[in-house]
Amino acid sequence: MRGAHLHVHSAFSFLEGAALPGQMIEAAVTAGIDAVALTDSHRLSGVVPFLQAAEQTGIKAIVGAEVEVADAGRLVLLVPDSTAYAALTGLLTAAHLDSPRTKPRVTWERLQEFGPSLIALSGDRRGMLGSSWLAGDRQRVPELLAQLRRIFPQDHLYIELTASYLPGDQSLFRALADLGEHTGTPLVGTGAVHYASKEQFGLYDLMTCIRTGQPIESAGAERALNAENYLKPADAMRQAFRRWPIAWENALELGARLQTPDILHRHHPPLFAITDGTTAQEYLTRLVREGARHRYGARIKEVWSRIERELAVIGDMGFTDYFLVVWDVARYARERKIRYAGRGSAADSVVAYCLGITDVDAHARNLLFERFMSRERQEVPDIDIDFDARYRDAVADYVVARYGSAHVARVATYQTYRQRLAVREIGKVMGFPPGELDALAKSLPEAPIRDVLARWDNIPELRQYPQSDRLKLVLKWAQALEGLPRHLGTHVGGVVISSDPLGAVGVRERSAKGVEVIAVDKRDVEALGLLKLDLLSLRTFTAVDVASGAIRRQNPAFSYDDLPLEDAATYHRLQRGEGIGVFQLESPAQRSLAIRLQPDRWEDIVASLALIRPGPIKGNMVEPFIARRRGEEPVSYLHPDLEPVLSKTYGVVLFQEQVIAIASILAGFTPGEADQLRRVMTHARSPGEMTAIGEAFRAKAMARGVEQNVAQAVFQQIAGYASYGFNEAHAAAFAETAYRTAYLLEHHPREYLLGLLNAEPLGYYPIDVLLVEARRRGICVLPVDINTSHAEAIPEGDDGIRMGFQFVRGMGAEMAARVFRGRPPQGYRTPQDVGNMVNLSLGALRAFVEIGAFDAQDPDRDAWLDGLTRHNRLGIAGRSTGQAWSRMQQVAAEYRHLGFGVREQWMALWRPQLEQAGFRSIATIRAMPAGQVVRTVGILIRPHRPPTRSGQLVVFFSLLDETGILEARLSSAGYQKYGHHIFGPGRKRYGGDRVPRMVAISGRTEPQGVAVTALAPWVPL
Amino acid sequence: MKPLSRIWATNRVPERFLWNRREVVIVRVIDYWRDVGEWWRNEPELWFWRVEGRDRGIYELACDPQRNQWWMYHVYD
Repeated sequence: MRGAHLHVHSAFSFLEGAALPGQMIEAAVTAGIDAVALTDSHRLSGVVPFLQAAEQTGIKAIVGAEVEVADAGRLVLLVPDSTAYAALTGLLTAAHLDSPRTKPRVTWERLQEFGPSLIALSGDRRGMLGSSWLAGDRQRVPELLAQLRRIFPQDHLYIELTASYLPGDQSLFRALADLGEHTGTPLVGTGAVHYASKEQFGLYDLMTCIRTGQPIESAGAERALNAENYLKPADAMRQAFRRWPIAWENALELGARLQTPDILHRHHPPLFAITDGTTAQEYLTRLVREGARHRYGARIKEVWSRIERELAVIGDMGFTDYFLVVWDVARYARERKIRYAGRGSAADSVVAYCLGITDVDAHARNLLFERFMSRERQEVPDIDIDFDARYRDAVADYVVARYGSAHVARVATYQTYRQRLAVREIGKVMGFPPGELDALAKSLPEAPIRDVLARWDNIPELRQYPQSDRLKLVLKWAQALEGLPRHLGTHVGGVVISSDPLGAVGVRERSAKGVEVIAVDKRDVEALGLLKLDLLSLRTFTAVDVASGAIRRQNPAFSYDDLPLEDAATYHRLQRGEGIGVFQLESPAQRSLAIRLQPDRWEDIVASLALIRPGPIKGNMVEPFIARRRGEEPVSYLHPDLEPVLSKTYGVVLFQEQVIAIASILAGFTPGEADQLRRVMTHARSPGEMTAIGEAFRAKAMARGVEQNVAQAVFQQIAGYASYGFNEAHAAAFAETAYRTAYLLEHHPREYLLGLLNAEPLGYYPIDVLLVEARRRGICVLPVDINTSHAEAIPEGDDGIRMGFQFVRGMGAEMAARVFRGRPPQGYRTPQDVGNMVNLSLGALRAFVEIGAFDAQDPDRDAWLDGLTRHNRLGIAGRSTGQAWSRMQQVAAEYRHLGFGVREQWMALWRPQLEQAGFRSIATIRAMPAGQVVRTVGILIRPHRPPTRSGQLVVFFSLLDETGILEARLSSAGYQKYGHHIFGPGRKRYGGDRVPRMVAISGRTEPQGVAVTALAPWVPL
Repeated sequence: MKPLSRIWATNRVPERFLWNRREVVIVRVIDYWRDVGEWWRNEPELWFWRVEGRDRGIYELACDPQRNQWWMYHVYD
């Protein structure tokens, strides 16, 4: 053994390490180190990528962690073999669950319980021996060592010396070496590594400043004096320990003795207990047969052979219990009438359809099961189910109760530093004022920092900053931080279920939400042999449920699940681009597509969902698809054998399943091999890899008689597409909800909008846009009234929606419910009544008054406010004039407290002024033919600069006024000229209120909106 | 910090140096450490040596390893 680093922190130590585990392994290869132990602080979260990287390079990977022992200091613990792994996970789990969150501590009792099978190193200067010695408590050092010696056997405990080149090292090492000799405890030399190379020190130091909340200019005890905690080559380690060579020799001996725990190649499937003596496979088959009878009736015979094939794959691959568990979860939801739907590639399975997990008939759609599961791929299936957002946690609770808390855990996900956060945190410690940083962060285009730096001079909103050199320095360090893990979060719905106690598989800890999670990233649970089930929450189902309830109150026979699927009016609404509020079809891109595609059948919706994706867009497939679908271009196939696969998409490759089928038909791949090809294409990182796959495809196709140029052309088509495509099963699953919500919007607009409002936040657009649509559809939006409103929005009269308390900013659903429940039978008389009865803050009461919630009693809002301030000890003289508020004051107060206008939309206030100045309303512009020069003013909605292949930045945004919404496009040149008005800092103030950002534009009308030629901020006179 | 006019070192480990026109022979290295200073202002990393001279004096020497420049950092009376 040439070198062994036994104390290494990666970025999974959260701000205590600057390199990812893979970078550490790469550094070890370069440095001639043979063994590396990953010893992140209280976590094993980086272990999977660490072991995988080590496996690829031949570096010996040792698993460990550094822990804080209560009232004593840190200790490095290493796992000597596979059996001891569970002791470390057990100890770390106890440290997390026994301690306050974010402050895990190991007690001596727990160390006694789990420690003896582990190897302990005494740690660096934060270690229990070093810290006591440096604190001057020198007589405690031998006492602590004695305590450790009582727990750890003779060859399991080492006194650690670190190659850190700090002042005082020599006397510390001498003292520790003397102690070691006196007690017979061996020394071990480590690098106490926190970054891979010396060049990463700056990032590590900045991370320390972020962690400790101090500016870079200030000194602090936790700041490192030097850049010596990198992964040193063996020679440098030997040099560092030249006075204590035994320490380094012992490190090599220990590195050779410790074994890599075998945790990547195990399986921990769930167990579905069956009491009647049948096997799980028999039971699953029985359930599927019952489901198939229900789904297919007499046609069961035509589908049964496929079902048997799917069942055989599921059984052979060992996933029978998993399917039973998923069936059980779906059954639970169904029985409780919780709306749910399986999404993703699971909808490629007829078994999943028969079990009621998905609603897509994979048999009728001829979907490929192999896209979901295949023997060749040997990967675990991933089933995602969307539940009504209100009940998802109840479903998750059921899973815990049914399978046992020791066997079920939520999956963690590591939040990584994103561009803006990285800039904010680096800039803060580098001494930039928060306001300036905030403006900078908000101005950054949605692109990796590397690209932003490369294009700095072409980004108008960045050019405006005077200190561009200093800002570039912030961005340079932020770029290094971008992508590193920041903290542990809870995955939105991932749950793992295992028959083995999960405490032996991974560390369990409590997330910020108080939920127990297995502290392994969602991408890594599979590598640990765990099966994940995604229980997702979908607010659209909440909206659907609320809407259905409201409709049934008028029409008890209404059934959302039995809507007619060929409703012409529903399609007409989509064809007009009026799908705002429709699930997955409301974005400007989707509505623009609908105007061009003119969908009039179910398959058009499935195709629409797959078309607005980077693959088809970048592959230039959208326009050919539309032309062929509309009969304006002949349908052709690159090879006649592709017709059966591509006929439903008019010869265009639109779905991942088609890529698989093409590879099977043309090149003779087995379906499993073909899916592997798709996956390789998806993850292909280098042109070399892609060329190799292309050659394999061409060779196989040509061997089957396909001409070379045809094989080449087909490959080009699927290669450009595979990485970004949708799978058909997923598109079909989403199309169900998309169509049905479009139907609700068309035929039950008031009830559906009510559902959307009560399910907020959801969808693409803010409430202000939904309410403009609502008014346009003749719905009367009624203001919050303290004695009429409920917590949520409610229907009122034939065509009204009464807004609820929960829409007031900062109120929250719980407080809103208390205001509603606490309302006396005779109603609240004054704001003070509300304050007294439900203990509401003065600010909240003011908000109620200012939005007119007491207008029904008395419209003099100033008088109400005077009454409130008299209750304030700082009460000031009354300002009531006995007048109701002006229209402008009322609407401004609504935007201030609600974020939208209830009585009217903000722009309506300025209509006479705008008309006088020659600005047209959006409805007028939308009614105009293409090619007209127009000027308008509106509220700027969702501006974005999508990345394009050419690198040219084009801006898309919507403009909203009281008459509707208009899509606008600003060219690359226009962006250079006007971009700072769109993305730069600064909302305008008007009359003391922050108001929505309004812009005036001029431009030329296009079929789907306006091409902007000039733009300026607009402020009312 | 005062530049040292002459120093003899092997592998950057100092052995003797000229100080106040006297040659000081190092008999013991008491401690050594490294310091990156204000790296964000591009200060260079310095290596420090606290040594005992044959004259019984205690000296702290600093070295910029990149430029092989040496300074007297501190003299203990």
